Amino acid sequence: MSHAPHDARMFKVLSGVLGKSVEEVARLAERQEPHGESFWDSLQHINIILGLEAEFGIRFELLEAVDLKTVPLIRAKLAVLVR
Amino acid sequence: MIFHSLDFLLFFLFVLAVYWQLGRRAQNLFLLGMSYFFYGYVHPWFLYLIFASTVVDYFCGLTIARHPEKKRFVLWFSIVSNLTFLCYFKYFGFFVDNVAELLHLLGLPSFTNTLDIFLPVGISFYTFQSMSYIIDVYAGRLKARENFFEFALFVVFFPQLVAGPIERAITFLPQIEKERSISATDVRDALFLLVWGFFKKLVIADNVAYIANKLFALEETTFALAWTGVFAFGVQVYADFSAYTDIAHASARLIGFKLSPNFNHPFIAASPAEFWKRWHISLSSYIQDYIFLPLYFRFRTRGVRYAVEKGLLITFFLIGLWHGAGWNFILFGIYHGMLVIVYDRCKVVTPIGIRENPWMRPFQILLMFSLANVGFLLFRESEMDYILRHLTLSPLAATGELQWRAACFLFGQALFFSLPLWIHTAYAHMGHRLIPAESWFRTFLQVMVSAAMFLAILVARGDSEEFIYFQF
Repeated sequence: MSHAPHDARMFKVLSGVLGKSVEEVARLAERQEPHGESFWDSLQHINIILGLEAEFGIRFELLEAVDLKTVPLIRAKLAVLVR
Repeated sequence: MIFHSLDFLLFFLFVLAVYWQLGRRAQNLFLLGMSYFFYGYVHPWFLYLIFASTVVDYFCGLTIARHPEKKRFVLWFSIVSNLTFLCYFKYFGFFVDNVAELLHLLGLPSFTNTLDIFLPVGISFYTFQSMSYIIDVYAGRLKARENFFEFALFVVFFPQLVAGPIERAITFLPQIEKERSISATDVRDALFLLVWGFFKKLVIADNVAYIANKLFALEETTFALAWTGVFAFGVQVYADFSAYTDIAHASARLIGFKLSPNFNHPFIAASPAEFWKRWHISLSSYIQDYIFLPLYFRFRTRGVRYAVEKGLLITFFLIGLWHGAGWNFILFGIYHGMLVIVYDRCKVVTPIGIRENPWMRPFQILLMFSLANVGFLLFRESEMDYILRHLTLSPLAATGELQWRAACFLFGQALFFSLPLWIHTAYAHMGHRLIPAESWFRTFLQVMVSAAMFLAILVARGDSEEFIYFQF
């Protein structure tokens, strides 16, 4: 498992929104395929965006938000946006 | 050409025999030709329309790449052209009918709609698919394609052309552009999926369709009979649509392509949002990315809840309208949108201990299944009087013994035919983990189950009906 600098805070947000343990979220971080998780629906997607924006003090643009489909994609986006 | 016909069988065997003898470029050209043949087989004039749509989007893509300063104009030009085709063929008759009705209600001189516009099969699917290309090129997520033939193949690819899954250019075009291969496991799994798809269509969907058709046609009905009909229709529409998807997946796999998932056991969804994450996934994810999220970002300055709920209502209205030109489809969409909103609001006030308790999940699934059935009623019944009649029937009203027995018998029959769907769901959640994909036992099991299903198709197939989603 890779440990990007923002993983702990990102996992905390995802865990809170998705109702999964941090370990389960960490396992999701290993998977690349989008749209696979039945619990990751449109509303959860919005909640994830809001949670990440609040936690990291950033604001996603529409095109960025559309691409936040998987934990690895979120990790990559945070690496760019959060200094 | 329909999947469950001898014509398709011969067509597909011919495709397979020639396709794997060719190199990648020749494979693409051959598939393009065969896809046009497939689509124009019954009505050759359909080809003009899909070809026009392909040409417009191909040149729009190139124009966006070469003249970025004009990209906004070109994007809208493409969207308006695509939607003009779609609206004319799918909605213009409905619009004219409603104008005539409105004039009549207002006591103004009205007219009779004599338009008889023939709906080209699959237009809603390929229009959305083609638009995904232009939107992604506009957004800079995808490079505009120079090769017209490869782009045309993306639009007209025959396995999923008529009823999806709606493929995204961003995932499908790269498959067209690389060498394809096929393994023994691919062949095994594809053949199993093919038989499973035909079994679902011919044995499950067509048999429960008989029950649903009879019960929906009753002039006098009871609560038990009416809702048995709705249950049978729910099973029919799922078996029918997922059968098409399975056959599409299997056919694509046999020529080296992988299509997007479209169903993930929707009847075990515990909430409306989860239902749409499991039902017609390629449409719901498309709508999420290209309609719901843009709406949310447009409205978010006015508050999150406002943005989410307004976005949801508009989105689900469009999902309903996408399904068909009828008030019942619009109601179907709005009903599901309202369900998502109500559930989301309830979630806020429901303690997490109840919401996430695994012991509550069976009850949540049962409730969602019942609510989904109300949606299926709206989906099926176009007459508002009949919808109201179903919704106002009381379970406590006196029912004749004969009607009660008939309802129990028909419900049992529908349940019996749907049994393989439930077994499949259980297997997907438990058995799948116990039997490794590469094991000889998996192959043995698939051969035995395929043989049983093949036998069932021979002895118990229902009266063949067209795939429900062909009308969209």
